Amino acid sequence: MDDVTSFAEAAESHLDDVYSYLVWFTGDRFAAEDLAGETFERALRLWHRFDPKRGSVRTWLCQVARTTALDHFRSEKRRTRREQVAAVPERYEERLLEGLSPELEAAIARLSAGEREVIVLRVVLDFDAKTAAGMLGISPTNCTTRLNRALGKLEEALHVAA
Amino acid sequence: MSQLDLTAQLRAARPVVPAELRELVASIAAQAEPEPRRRRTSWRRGLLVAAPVMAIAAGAAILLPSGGTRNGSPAALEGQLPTLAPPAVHRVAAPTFSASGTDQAKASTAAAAGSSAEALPYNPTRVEQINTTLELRVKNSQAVSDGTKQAVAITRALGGYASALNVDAQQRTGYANLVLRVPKQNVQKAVDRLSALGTIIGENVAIKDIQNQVDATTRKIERLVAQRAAWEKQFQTTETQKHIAALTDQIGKLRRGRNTTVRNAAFATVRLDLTTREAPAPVHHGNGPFHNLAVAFRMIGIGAVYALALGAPLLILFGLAWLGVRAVRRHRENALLSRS
Repeated sequence: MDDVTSFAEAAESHLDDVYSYLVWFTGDRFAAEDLAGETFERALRLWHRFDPKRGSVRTWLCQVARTTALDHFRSEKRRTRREQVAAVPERYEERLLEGLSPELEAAIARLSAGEREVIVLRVVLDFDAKTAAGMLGISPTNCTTRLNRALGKLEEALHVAA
Repeated sequence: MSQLDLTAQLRAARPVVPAELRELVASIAAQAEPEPRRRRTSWRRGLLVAAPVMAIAAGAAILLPSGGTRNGSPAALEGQLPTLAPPAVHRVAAPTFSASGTDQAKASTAAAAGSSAEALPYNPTRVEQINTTLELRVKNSQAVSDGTKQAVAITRALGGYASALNVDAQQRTGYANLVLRVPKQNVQKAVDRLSALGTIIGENVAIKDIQNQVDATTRKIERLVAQRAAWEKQFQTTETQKHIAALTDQIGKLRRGRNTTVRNAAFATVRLDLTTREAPAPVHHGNGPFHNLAVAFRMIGIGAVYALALGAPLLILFGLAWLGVRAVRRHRENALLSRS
């Protein structure tokens, strides 16, 4: 558990993690940028509710980011339904992540947001199963199963591409 | 590609935060930040609230009378009334007498404790009925027997007699009920001496002036005597003689009655009760120092049972509702994330 003294310190320390999480979760760099700013604004407002005994500040910031992203998904869903426009994702026209092979990036793009989320939490940000499961609101076993399934899909997609 | 290589590649490919975003977050963080709240609720805070609440509740329960029975419940009122102290441990030379100069009987019940000895306020020139009741407590049945003998001896010594005796001194506890007739000029002495036989637990003196009643009878007799004299002066026939005989008979009855009344009034009636029974101990109806605390705990217990009986189903319902809402929310969330 990290020792946090101020919000500024927390924001500076964990901006990369929050941004990575949001990029993976949304699959959209521009949306992730907006959501990251919104996340830290919200986190500042809620900072008085942060309890270090209940978890690390990184976990807490990721939870705030998750709530912000879920709100974004809901509003996007409503907007899409209202405009009756078929959901045609344009977000992977630019490269989502630097240093990935095009096959892997394409495979990631085919994953659902839930699958990408469990990968970023467990693999990229290296949360343990219990913490990640707590953030997702599922059991650790379910979290591990979901992770294995997502990685299996990636492997399968890469195998097919090869 | 193995899963290890895959995860290593995924870890290595972390997005770089744009400079604009870093500046934006820095500007957000530069705003006045509230201090993180360490812990919203803790057992210390809970105790801080619960302790005064419990103290106030307990204090109120102790200070306020036990609920519900104050208004008119005899039991509750009885508990609040001052309990009369058991009578007299000290002996009193003589009971307090109330004087009476009227036709109405006036009674005086003197609490034995602290009674001052006063002379019997009877008027020797008038006809009065004096009734005295004296209740004494003695040690044991032997004392009852001895006290009875002494009471009879005292009465005889003062020129009186025992008109009724009811003594039971066979068992461990005993009692004696005596009706003593004492010349009224000696009733003061009699009460003084009889009071010394035990501990006074009750006494009563009633004096009724019957002088007017006697005077009225005397006047009636005088009228009848005058009527009879008038009849006797008339020519004596069988009829007049019948009237004279009837008047004589009536006069005789009235004189006998008056004489009996005056003769009885010459003696005072002293009812003496000797007993070994202890005076009933004052009954406290839960007025001990912790009575209301016990009542408070009982009420809390009753409240807890009610809360359990009514609250448990509600809690179960709320729990089921919460689980249902959570399941729906997760289902929707999963559906949302599976499409995104």
